[in-house]
Amino acid sequence: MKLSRRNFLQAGAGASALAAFGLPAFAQQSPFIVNMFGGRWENDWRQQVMPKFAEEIGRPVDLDIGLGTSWIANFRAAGPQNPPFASVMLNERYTAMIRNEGYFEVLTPENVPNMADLIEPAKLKGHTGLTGMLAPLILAYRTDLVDEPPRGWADLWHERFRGQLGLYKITNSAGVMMALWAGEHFGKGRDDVETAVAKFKELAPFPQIGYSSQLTPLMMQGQIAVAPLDVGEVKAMQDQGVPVDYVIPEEGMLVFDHSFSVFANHPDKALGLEYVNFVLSPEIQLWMAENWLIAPTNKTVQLPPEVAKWPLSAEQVTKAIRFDWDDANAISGKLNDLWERTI
Amino acid sequence: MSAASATFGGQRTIGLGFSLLIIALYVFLLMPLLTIVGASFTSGMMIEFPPQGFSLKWYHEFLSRKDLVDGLLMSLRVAAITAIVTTTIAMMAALAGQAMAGRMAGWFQLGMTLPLLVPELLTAVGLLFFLYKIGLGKTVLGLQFGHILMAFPYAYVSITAALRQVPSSLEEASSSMGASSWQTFRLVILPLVMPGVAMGAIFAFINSFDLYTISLLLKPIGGNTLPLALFDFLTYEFKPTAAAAATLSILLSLCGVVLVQRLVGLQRAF
Repeated sequence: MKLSRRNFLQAGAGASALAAFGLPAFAQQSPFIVNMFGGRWENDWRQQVMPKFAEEIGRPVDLDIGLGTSWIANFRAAGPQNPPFASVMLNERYTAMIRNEGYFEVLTPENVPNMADLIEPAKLKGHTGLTGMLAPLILAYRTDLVDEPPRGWADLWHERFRGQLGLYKITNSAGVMMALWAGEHFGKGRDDVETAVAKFKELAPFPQIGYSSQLTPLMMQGQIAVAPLDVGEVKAMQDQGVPVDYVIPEEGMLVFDHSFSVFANHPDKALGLEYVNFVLSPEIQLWMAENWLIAPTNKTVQLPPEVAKWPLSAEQVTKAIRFDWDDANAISGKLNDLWERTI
Repeated sequence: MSAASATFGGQRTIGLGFSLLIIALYVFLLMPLLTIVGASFTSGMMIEFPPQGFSLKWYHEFLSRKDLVDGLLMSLRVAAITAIVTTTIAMMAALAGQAMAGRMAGWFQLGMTLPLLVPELLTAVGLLFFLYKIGLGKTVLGLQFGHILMAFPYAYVSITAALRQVPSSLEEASSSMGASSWQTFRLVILPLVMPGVAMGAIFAFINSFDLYTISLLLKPIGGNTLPLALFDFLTYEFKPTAAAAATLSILLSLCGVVLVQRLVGLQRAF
């Protein structure tokens, strides 16, 4: 077919009409919205978990995909009176940024019955959020490249691992946690930013990675041999035949801590509370443990043997090193600045 | 004779040097594209170049991933509307700009290209707060506004450049022969500036298709554009599916170039 200007303009007009016709379709449905990370998290949550909740509430559901920074920017722009959706899942680092600004409903066992079965560390400050996804961060290492495995976080500074390390960027909460730990371990306290950064400078140069899944290819290719990593990534590598194992650091595991909160002023607040209760239910907590190696925060969950070999038990995660993210956020500007200028 | 031959030899050396420079420039520009296209056909499990073997499985995985395909469809829809709306508004703005004279025209030009001068992140944050104020926060329409704003200068600059090539005597001749302003525009001006309009539309489309920061903050609830979906994908799964998606994006851009060629010819457009 000969493509003339007239054809082009006609096609353009048709496309405009179709597009305009399509726009209201977004507004016609009123699904219940919650948020989730992208990639495999989105796919699994959308296909395997949300249909159960949709059936439970008798209403269509949808996911808002993104990252903490963009969600926080949107909540701040919307204000506490006009939140874009009813329930939100955030890394506790982000929850802490707005939990004192009147956004969140206080959660109690009366409005979230499964809260009664949670491990104590899952009940966050002011009960404005409950941890529903706890991903243990351990030390992974290549068994073929490391003669003597590390025993704990402090071993990262051992000469035998020089040039073999991969670490998180300071923009990732794992990077912040490691810096706070280093400040406490090597310096005067968790707020001893100068000592923490100076200690990591001793390890340089090392690859700094934004997310766990970007450390994994480096370890698979043998470019790094030791790295802090969440257990889900270790299992994924083992399933692909990569010679990799892990140790639980003797000082204690760190954890990626994702909390669920409900916006006090959203019209769907009741459904938001129902959703948090659903996520914290033994059924969903077990599903997350089996599929994502996420540690259940509901004490009543019985881990099956194939999952029990991973450090996911309530006893293990209760012993994990935890941080006060109000304090961490207060020093994060100084920490980021010093890190970027030094390393 | 020997001086002439030395001069000829010198010119050959310079010519060879420039040829090597051009080749190096092309390699520099094309290597990232070739790498990502090559990596998309790997049969291995990671993005790597050269690829391990040959496989189309990552294209299959891309097409079977609802999050990525939905992202592609949203990007195509938003970019298509952006191209059409932006080109229309930019044409009107370019005509208005041409009718102005003196310092006013200079300020007008500056105003029309402001979105290029302000950092995208600041524009995005400003728009985010503005859109929530007018009730369009996290809606498709809000995202569409953002894309049109960011793509506008590209279309405006392209169309303005094309308009400047049209001699004002043609417009005067058309008027003197009794044509109305609309007839003059439709039958005289528009056909002559069509290459610039087509290029502006293509630039607007490609710019919109690639926008990340604006989309990150303004994207609607339940929707993702392809760059966002790809970033989310790479954040949690570092697989060659992303390379397959990038290759398809490159193909789409090439389709745009072919479209310009078929409509107005590349040489007329540049």
